[in-house]
Amino acid sequence: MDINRKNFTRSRKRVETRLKFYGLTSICFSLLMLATLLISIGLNGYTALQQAYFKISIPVDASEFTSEDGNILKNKINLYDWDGTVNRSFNKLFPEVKSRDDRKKLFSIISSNSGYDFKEIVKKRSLDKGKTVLTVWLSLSDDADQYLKGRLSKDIPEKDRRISNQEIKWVDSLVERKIAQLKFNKTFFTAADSREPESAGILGAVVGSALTLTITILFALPLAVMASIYLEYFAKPGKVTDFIEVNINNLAAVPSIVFGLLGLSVFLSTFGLPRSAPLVGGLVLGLMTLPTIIIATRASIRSIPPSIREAALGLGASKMQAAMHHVLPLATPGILTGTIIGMAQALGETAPLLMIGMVAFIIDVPSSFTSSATAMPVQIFMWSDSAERAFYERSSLAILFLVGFLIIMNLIAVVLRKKFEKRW
Amino acid sequence: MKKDGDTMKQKLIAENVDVFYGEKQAINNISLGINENTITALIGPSGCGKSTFLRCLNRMNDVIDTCKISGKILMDNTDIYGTEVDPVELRAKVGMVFQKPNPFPKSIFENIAYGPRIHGLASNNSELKDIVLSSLEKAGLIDEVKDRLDDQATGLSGGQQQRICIARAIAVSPEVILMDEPCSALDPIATAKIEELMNELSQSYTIVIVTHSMQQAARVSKKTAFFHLGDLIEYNDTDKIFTQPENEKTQDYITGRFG
Amino acid sequence: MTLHISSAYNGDLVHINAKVVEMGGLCEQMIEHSNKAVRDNNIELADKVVLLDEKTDDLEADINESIIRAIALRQPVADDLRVLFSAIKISGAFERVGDLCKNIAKRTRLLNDDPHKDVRKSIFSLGEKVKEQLTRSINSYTQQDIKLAKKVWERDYEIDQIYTDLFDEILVYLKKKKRVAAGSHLMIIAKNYERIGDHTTHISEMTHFAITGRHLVAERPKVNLPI
Repeated sequence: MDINRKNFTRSRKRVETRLKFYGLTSICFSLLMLATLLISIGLNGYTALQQAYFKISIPVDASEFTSEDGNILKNKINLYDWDGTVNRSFNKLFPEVKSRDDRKKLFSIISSNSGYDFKEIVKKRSLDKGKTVLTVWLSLSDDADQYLKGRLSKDIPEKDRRISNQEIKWVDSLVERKIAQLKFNKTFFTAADSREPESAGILGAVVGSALTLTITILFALPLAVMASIYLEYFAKPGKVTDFIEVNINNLAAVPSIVFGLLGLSVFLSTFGLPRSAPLVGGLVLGLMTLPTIIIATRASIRSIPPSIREAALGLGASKMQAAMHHVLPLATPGILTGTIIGMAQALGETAPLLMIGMVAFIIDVPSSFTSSATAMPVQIFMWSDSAERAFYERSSLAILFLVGFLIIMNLIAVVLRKKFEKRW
Repeated sequence: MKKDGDTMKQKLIAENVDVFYGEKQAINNISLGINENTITALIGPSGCGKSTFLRCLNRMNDVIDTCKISGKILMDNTDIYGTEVDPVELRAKVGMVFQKPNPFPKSIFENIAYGPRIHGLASNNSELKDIVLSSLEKAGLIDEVKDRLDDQATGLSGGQQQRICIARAIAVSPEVILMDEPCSALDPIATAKIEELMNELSQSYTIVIVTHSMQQAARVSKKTAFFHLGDLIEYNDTDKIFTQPENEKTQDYITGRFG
Repeated sequence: MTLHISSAYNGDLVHINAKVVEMGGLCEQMIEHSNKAVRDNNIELADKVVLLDEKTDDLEADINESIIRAIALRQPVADDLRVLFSAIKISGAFERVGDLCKNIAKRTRLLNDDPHKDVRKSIFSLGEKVKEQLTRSINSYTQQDIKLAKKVWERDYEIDQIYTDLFDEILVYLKKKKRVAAGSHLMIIAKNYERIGDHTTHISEMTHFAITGRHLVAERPKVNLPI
């Protein structure tokens, strides 16, 4: 009898150890996968923090686009031949290049947006009247950039390479003369999308996402809270309420692209709201996160001891007063947690935004809820689809950015819950 | 000075009250009169309908959707289930103290001030403060908490919390106070304090208490009603019930022979 | 009767009840012995009665202790409270009965050499009547018989009647024989029997109260006693 019991205990312990081991293994495995993912994206993306620039002195005649009192004239500055100015100065660095074809090739190693970039620099500086010579750093082209970062090897046969031997020579000569180097890529954090990787930035998408999420939270949170209070405290139990309840849970499982279709047909076609706008994106994402927030809010309301509500009702508070004065304030941390998780879900969502046109190529940082915009995951999607290698590293960096945002939002949720949790 | 129970004014009169939860009948045809400024105890085993009946008296059962009530409950000759009676107003007149002390997780002051505030009993802050202080005084709590009115009420001891709940109920100047097992979560000293408080309050309030403790019913109440399986088995003066119950079920219950 | 949920409580009540019944049995025995001792001038029996009285005293103490414990620990109410309350009263009555029997026995020993045959016989018949009442009151207690209890209570006047007659008889005897000492003892013995009769009435009263919760208050036949 005793031996039996001992054997039994021993086998039970063995099972326990085994299960513990399984659990630990699966946790390690998923952590490993996550680490692999983040590290590989990180290795691809960190180079996008730098960009190849070259230093050049360019003469400008400020009198051509400034008025008497020193103000820049908008129409004139746009008409000024910026591209030519930059190209001519760049040509001076390589006086041996003379023919039209060679010069074209030479200019291909600097960014095709150089003229524009230079104009923007000029706009920001107060220039003396008359002719001045400005010394500035401008971007090299993405191919030259990739070459300097070592991503385009000279070992590849020339015809398979995006950069020719001649071009490599020119870049090397710039480096030798110490007027070309990798510097911190400020553009990435201050610009919107561009055809040229060296001019493309994430800011437009970040602002687009922020505007979209603002609409989402303004739309979804009040609706969800009101719906939850109604369902918890006012709805008469019955078939209708059951039906609503089941469908809210179903809604949470509806594929997100369906919400995109809904937005397309309702918000765009029926209501005629502007395409590609954060307003519509926010509404669609709001609809999508609504069930998540409702479920979280109801759970949070239900976790408030009913005795608190009874106390209020027993004092003669109306149902609404009991809910607004006592239950909601206590349920707030839970509601906020649910909301933030819903928002994080919305932040990472691509499919519905594709349906309502937020996949457009937007070169300006969006300035209002109705201006055309794109969102971070869509931006990543578009960049990863581009042919240029430089976009590839930029999309990796953008992914890290997005993941960072998600982690921060989840951390806020955790902190809020810890901080406001009341015990009674 | 002993008043005769039968000639006293009846504050609440239940006439043929039935209560259903869905299909299940929780209370069968109960008629009973509750004397003014008296403590009436409702006793009986769990599920006997005593709490249900108590909750009928301030329409707390309205909150439960499946609950159906028939019959009349008259308070000062007005049917509290009449169409012209608003349950929210009724609950200001018929206060309630619950089984578990349930102060709001707010300051002591806010706990007491909440009722007067929602009923608009005070026109300014100093009036509100007066109400809070006098309620705490009536609840015999003033000396213990007057220096820390801004402390969290949930930080008090169980007995103090329950007296906060009583003070909170008093603050809306009710006429009747219902107590649903108010001492079941308290230690004997806190219980004794609450019982003494009830005794004092019964000078000016009609108190109905549901209790599982027969000794408590015997100690505090003037009249006792014994419920069993939704029926009112016996209703009489407390001393009569505890020395010479008329019904055998009552006797079996109070002597601990129920089986 | 339904049992209590607490078996220990049941046990206590059963124990107390058994002790009360035991006391009643002792009292019956004592009164029987003293009756015979009075009639036959039996010193041996009289001594036995004196010994038995100590036992009743011990039993009463035991019962009181058990009842105090039960009240403190169980907070009895309703019929339990009445049963315990009457147990105190009844055991007290039995104890008094025991004392009175002892007194009778002691006085019997002092009557020793006196041939008051007729008077002794009369006292014996009073004693037998009292014994019958005592037995009935004990039976009413053990059998929870309110009818019997009421009957005992109502018939107390019969003892009073016999006692009144006996009182006159002893008085005559006293005057005739001029035996003051013996006459006084006989008088007190008779009075003791009458007192025992009163206690039996009290026992049945308490039995009735324990069962019904009501006191027997209706006018019962009374005989005005000479003393």
